[in-house]
Amino acid sequence: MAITSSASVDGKTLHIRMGERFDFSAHSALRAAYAGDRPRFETYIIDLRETTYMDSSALGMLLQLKEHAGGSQRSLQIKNANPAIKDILGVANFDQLMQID
Amino acid sequence: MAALEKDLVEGDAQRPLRCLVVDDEAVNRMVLAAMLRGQGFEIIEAEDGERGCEICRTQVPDLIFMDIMMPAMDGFEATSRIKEMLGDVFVPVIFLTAISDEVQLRRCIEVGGNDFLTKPYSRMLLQAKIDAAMRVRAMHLDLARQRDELASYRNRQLRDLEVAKRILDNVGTREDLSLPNIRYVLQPMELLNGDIILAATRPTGEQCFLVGDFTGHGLPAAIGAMTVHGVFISMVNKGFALDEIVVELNRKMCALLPVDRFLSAAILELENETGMLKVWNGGLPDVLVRSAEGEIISRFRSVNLPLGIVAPERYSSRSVTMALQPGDQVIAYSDGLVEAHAPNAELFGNQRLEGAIAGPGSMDERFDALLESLAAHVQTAPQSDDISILSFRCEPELNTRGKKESAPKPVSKPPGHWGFLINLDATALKKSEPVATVMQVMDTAQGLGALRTPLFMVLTELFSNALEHGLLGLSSEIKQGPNGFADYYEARQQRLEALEEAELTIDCQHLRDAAGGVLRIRVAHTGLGFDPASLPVHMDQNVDFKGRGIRLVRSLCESLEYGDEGREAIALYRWSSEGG
Repeated sequence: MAITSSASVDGKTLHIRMGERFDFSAHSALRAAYAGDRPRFETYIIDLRETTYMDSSALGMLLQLKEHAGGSQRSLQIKNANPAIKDILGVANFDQLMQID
Repeated sequence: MAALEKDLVEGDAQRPLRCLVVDDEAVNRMVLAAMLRGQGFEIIEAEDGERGCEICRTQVPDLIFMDIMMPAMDGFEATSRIKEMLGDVFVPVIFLTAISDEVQLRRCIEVGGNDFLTKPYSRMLLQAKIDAAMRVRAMHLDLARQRDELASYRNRQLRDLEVAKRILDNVGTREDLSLPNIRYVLQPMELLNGDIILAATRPTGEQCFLVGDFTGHGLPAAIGAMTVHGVFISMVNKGFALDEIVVELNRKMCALLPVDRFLSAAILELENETGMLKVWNGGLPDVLVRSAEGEIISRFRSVNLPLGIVAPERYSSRSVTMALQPGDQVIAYSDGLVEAHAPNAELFGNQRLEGAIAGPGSMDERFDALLESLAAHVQTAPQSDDISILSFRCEPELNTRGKKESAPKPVSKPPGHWGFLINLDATALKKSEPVATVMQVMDTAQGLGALRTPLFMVLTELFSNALEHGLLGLSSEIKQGPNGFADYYEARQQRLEALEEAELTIDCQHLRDAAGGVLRIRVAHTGLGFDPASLPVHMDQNVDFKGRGIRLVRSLCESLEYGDEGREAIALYRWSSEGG
């Protein structure tokens, strides 16, 4: 359940790939990936290709990241979410806050 | 035992460590005692196992040396008795013996001894054994202390939570939830619930409901629930519109909750007489409507963000209306229901939910069937989220309107002279319904007490007539079609959004008189007029929807007159003061 993150070459985008479970156990690792000494990026991408489980505390973590990212709906992008996870994001209407592909 | 344990755990730094030496040979005892005294131990001697046990009953030693072969009671028996007697208190026992038979040595450990030393022993080896034993003892003491600290912390926390729960239970009035057309279940995962179900009734009789699910469980959620409870109940009782309540709840939740916490909720409103249902869903699973025949006829998806995420100035809320038939039933629930899992981790799911509530039977029968189906699915699996389910039925006969036609009652404050006038243009009319605000102004000028309900109804009726018929040009005929009320409200919404040039005035003047006071309410607008002569005059005429409100106003007020070709309505409302 590792979280990996990498910055784009132009330094504008931070790509964060979440592990299998996106719940409270991911909290400190996710925060470490974007907060701390790291500079603020223009865009944050949360890649959920490996994620099969997500709960409401994950929604809370996305809101924290969204606040950190600031700016437009495009400043936080969710990629490769499976249908069940898209459903959870949909019920909460998070597509109004972030871009969900 | 507790006192002994306390003595050991907290210890007395000044007290020398106490060592019990059990041996039937006086010489052996003497030699060992001399060596131990040299290390600062206080020595108690016992000449056999039985005596050793007795001593342990009154003075718990810190370390025991035990011989094996002794008269009266041997070392094995004595050790197993002492260990049993001391229970959780750890006192190391080191066997000292001339026996070198491995079977016997193994038995030393089996009966509860911690180590053994064969005679003759060297001073150095003895020292090493003592050090090892004391190290283990120190570790045990440490563990015991931590365990006790944890237990007392847990107890304290549990007590606090129980008190918190009692307070919360007292806050939640269940009165409006006990009406006969409602069933609900709240099943918290822990002591405190992160879900809430609320019901309250408007002065005009609509039943309003809230089913909410906070992120997280326990105390933080329960604290948030208290605020939601206060805001919702008081706003409904004051007659605020559903959308205004949503906006206010969102504002409160934004101010109150940390960034990563929010409230998913469904807020619903039902006017039993007409069957008008209004649904606002922000983050809860689909709200279902089941027909009296048992079919799922409608689903209201979550189309709003949950409460407490988006700042008030950027928040927009969308609610949907539908006309229910008598007996139609609405079901709202938190995701804890569909995500409740069986021992094999399988989720309860939408199919089981809908399977349980669909089909023939009354609301109560289907609700019970749902609970049975849930219990059968979950069995003994631990609950992983709060579960809440609310169900209510459209019942036109249900009287929720309180003191609808009661005569004016005395008020607590003596009436005085006061008055105010409010002008609203099209933009202001789109933003809010001013009746609740006007009521608050009146309440400030004069304690309204029991007059709140009738005055609210008079104002609501006059305002809706002026807006809907006068400014928006809607005809009550629309309400009589098959989808009457839904069509009517849809048209109302569309025309209100398109409204450009308009003005609506609410003018309230109150005069004191000998018996009490008289309130003159004038509602005027700049839209279409009508012929006042076409209106029915008495309550018993024309018992259809058309003019229903006006008959109500006439029955409550001393008089109702129209002027300016129907563009102005003036109602006189009279009351008497206490003892006046």
